[in-house]
Amino acid sequence: MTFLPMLHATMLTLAELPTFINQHLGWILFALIFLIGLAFGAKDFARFSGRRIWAISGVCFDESIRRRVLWITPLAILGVIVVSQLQRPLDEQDAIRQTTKFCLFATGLIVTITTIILACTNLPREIDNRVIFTVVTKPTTRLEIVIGKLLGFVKVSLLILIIMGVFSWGYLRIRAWNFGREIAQRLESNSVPATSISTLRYYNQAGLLNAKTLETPDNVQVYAHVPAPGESRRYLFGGDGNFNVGFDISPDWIAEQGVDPATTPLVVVAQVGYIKRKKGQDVAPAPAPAVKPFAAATQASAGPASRPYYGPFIMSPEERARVMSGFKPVEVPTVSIDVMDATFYSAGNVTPIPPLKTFEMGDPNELTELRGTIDPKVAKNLKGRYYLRVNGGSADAEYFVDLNRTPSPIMLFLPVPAGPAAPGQPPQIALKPIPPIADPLDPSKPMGPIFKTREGNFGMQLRGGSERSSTAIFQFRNASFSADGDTAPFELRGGVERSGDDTPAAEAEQPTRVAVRVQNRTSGMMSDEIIVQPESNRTLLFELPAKALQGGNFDVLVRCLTLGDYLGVSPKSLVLITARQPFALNLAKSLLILWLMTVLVTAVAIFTSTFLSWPIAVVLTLVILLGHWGVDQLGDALAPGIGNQVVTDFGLKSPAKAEAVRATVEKLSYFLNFISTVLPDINKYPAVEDIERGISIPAAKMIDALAVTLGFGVPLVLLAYVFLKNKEVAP
Amino acid sequence: MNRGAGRIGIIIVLIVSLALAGATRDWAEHLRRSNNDQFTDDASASSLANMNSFALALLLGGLRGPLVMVLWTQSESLKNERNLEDFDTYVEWIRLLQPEFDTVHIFQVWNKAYNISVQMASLSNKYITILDAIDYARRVLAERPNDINMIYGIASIYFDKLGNSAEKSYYKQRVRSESLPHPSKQRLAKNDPGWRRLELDPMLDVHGNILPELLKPKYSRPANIAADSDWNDGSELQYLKQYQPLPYGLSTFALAYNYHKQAQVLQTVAHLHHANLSELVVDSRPALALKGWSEDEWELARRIELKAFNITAPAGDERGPLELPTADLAPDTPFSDRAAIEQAIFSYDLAARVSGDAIKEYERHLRNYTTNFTTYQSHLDSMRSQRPLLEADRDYLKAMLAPAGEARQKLLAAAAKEYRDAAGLNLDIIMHYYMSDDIATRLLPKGVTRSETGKLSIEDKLKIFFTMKAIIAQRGFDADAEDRGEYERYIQRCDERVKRIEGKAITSALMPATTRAAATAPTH
Repeated sequence: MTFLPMLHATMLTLAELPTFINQHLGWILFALIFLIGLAFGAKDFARFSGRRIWAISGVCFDESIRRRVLWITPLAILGVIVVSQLQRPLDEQDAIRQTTKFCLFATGLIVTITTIILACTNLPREIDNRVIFTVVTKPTTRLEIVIGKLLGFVKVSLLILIIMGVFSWGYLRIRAWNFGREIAQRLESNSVPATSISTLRYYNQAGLLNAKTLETPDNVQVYAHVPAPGESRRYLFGGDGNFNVGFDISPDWIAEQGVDPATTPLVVVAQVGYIKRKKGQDVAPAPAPAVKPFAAATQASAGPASRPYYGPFIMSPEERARVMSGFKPVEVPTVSIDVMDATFYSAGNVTPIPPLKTFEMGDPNELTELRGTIDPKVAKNLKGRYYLRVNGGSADAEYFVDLNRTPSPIMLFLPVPAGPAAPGQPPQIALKPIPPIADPLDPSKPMGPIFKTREGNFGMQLRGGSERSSTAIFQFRNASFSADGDTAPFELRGGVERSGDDTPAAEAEQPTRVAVRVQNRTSGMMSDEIIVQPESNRTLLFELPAKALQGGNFDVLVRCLTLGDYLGVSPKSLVLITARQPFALNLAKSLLILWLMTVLVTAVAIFTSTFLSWPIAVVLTLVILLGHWGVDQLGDALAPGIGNQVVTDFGLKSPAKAEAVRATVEKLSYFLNFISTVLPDINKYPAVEDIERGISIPAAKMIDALAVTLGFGVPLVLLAYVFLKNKEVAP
Repeated sequence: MNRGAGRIGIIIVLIVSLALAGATRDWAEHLRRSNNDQFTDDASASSLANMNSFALALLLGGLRGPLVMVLWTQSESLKNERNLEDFDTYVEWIRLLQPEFDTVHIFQVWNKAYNISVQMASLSNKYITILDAIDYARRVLAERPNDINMIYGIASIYFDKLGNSAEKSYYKQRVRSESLPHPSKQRLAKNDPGWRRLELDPMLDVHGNILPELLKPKYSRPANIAADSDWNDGSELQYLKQYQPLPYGLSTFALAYNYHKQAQVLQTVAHLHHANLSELVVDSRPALALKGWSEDEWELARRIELKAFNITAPAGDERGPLELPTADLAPDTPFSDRAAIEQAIFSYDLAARVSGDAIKEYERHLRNYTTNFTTYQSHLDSMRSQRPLLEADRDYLKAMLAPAGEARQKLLAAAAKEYRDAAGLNLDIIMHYYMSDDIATRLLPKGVTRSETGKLSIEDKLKIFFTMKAIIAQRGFDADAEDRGEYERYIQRCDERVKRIEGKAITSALMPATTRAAATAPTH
């Protein structure tokens, strides 16, 4: 069998592996290799000597030093200094961020390249020049040789990391000290843009080099009005706002109910009210609303259920008469209901139960029950987490739900057979509720509705000004925060979009103004409003009274004040800085992650060098290390269906050729995806992203890195041992 | 022994190659300079400025190309994601790694001034980003002096972005005030990595004279250039020298003119060509910039005049509505701010002078590119008609400041004559461009075409104008109303002012006072 057909056959075989094996292939291979290693090397494991390993590692280390590998560090240091002089940062903190990135990038680059070259060339060279004779002829096992060399190169990389780490720390300290003085000077001379004043004040006080621990909000709600204490109504603006209730939909459960998902719609019942507020009118205390029955509501507001057909663009005689006589009809507010997937993308919509064509509201200031169905074509595809979204349709109305009366204002039902059908009658149907998702803080209760507004370029848009301006409420629950002063620092990063039309000329020249308050959920204390001036998509630091944060249960209320501006926010737009660590500790964590990566790189390099010449070993090492990342970069290009796309792009007309190409491309993409699952993921070594942003690297990331190093490193070392054991290295 | 000899051979070959590379580079430079004469003969300065590029290229060796590819992709991704934290650094590296590619620099200047500035929310940060685009062009110019693409790029930012964008009121005011002496907000040195531009550097001293360092010539005039030919002496604001002192600051259009003129002279005299634009475009821009400058000074003067007489300026940033609120001010109207009137007089005078220079620039351009005659004929006519109007407004204000007596009467008489001239010229424009063919055939005397109405007396012109308006009113449809309205406003201003000076309006001989205002009132 020639190579290509053999490869094709292998690809097909691998592609046809059962799903379970595909999904757990990494672990299966790990176990297999471990067992093979044990089986081959039981004797060598018994003779395992730490002293001999240490001696071999010492030889490797000394030889590397003799090869002047450390000379690369001054070069890298010079490069970092030159490049950091050519940066064009946004401000002093950005300069430190960029310099940190350069330092760690250079460190990672040189330590990886050095390790690959040293580890890939060592064994082939020793075999080539027969130096290995002096080792293998002694009572050392091949396992000890492999582990000794791994340890030796790991020691070299550790030394490089220490040198670069010390330089990075020192260089960043000097730059931070310099920039700190400049910040002080700029603040003193009032030469700071309004959008940066509070941020630079924070850095002036806290310093530029530190590692923040951040607390993100548990949830964000965007209401038309901040609810008063004890108030059960939650308002949203028509035209902009919506609320969402989540459901976990299981096709298996639906099948168990004895219905055919392909033909069964899902029934939706929502209870929503509305009011029409005059300009400047405050929110009136809500009277206890009675749920207006669905039938009565529709009878009162919807008019006749059907109308004669007047053609697509022709008015009814009644409408024409009204228009001609100057009559202005009172518009009944409407809502629409959509099905959203877990990421809040539309998956379909809910249609009113005929004869109604729209969801029309009943009397104002009362809840109206709205009923609709999800078409079976949509419903049959629902699997997992979905949200039902009610959109306020009329811009002149404010819609509300009442959480006292309807903790979950949207309900979802599955119609199931209720009994045998009477002769000549349709089958009896009962509505079986699908429960909404549970509140993560109290699983015995349903999770409340999530209030949102229209999405813009930067997330949910908070309209500026005093009319129809929504408030985003960032809800922090059980936040671990210990106040060590009177104030607590927060970071806000939102996008500003300017409509330009409504903005008065005087305001247009000013930065966008945003009001922030904090309300303690336990004590009810509400802080004074502070005004911050964010720039679009830049981090703004500001402080709120620490007293209002006591207990860890609090809401931060954010409102855009500038007419004509929209502040775009997402749940991660506002974070609380709960603690600060020394930068040196964070740098050490970052270097530890880099070191764990070099351990893996060394293991891969030694493994490849046991059966390949060194140039090929270098290439294969890079392929193994970058394979997973490369497949990730291809992204959608490897998604199912790519075969059809290639056929279309190539314009293949012959069905046989088209099918051959389609099938081959599909298998190839499947094969690449499959291969990537058994290659290490270097994205699991995030040494730069947190530290450059001044965020403390969490332990979980280091554990992830350790897991990848051990998960791939141990099998590779064992494989290297097996290969070396079976290799003729000495006569 | 053989191995040692081999090594020595390699070293010799390397040294010879390096020397040869140096020699060929020098030769190439010499060829380049000899082709472009003095305009590229600034190698010493550019070599120093090039150090960063050389250092980076040296550091990267053969990886320069791949790195640039990565940087381009990443910078564009950052722009699309609206994450600008690393953007400026990447763009700067691209500049340093591709110093010889003009199209790269043209793109990045435009990219920063337009695509990036628009991502800022506050006007102040937008303005700073636009200034950063100018700085980028200047950094390229430091490495490659007399780069026509960058000089044109700077001019274009001053003209199109700062002078004509939606936020122009804010930008124009900042440029004007920052061109005047002011303490720098920056405490850091410009070469410090933490330095960032927050404002323009001052360009004028306390007397309004351009700072000497901005007028310091770099080149002596070559002998082979004709005596009447323009040429760039290498000073930064060479073409504004003739207008100093400018005690009320520089218009963004003045700066645009300065750089557009430099680019045009580089094209005409040094035969350098813009990478993307035709010669016709580059050649036409000085005239357009002068027109913009003249109109900008005109608008400023109108606003100051309103302020001096405590009249609220109409809303908006257009010049048109500013014409009439002060039109009926009597010469003896009391004013609150003498300094403001002096500033308005200065601006009217400068605007009139610049209008005259714009006419010369248009004429020069049209001599070279006759195909543009149709396009710019209306510009020329506008400049010709606005000049006497601005001179009249200047003299009218001067008369208001002057004590009663002969001097004042002389100024008023001069103003009245200029208003009449302006009214006549604006009537010419209306008859030339905004009179339909059938009405022109009906109303113009035999042997007089639309472009020859200058031959007619003002009374004849007015007769034709009022008859035309009556015909249009009868028809009930007026396609040119909006465009013609601008010139009708000027005529009405002239009419009102002449009435204040002489006691009777220009139009009074033709119609009763009650209907006069309605007849001359702009349709829009």
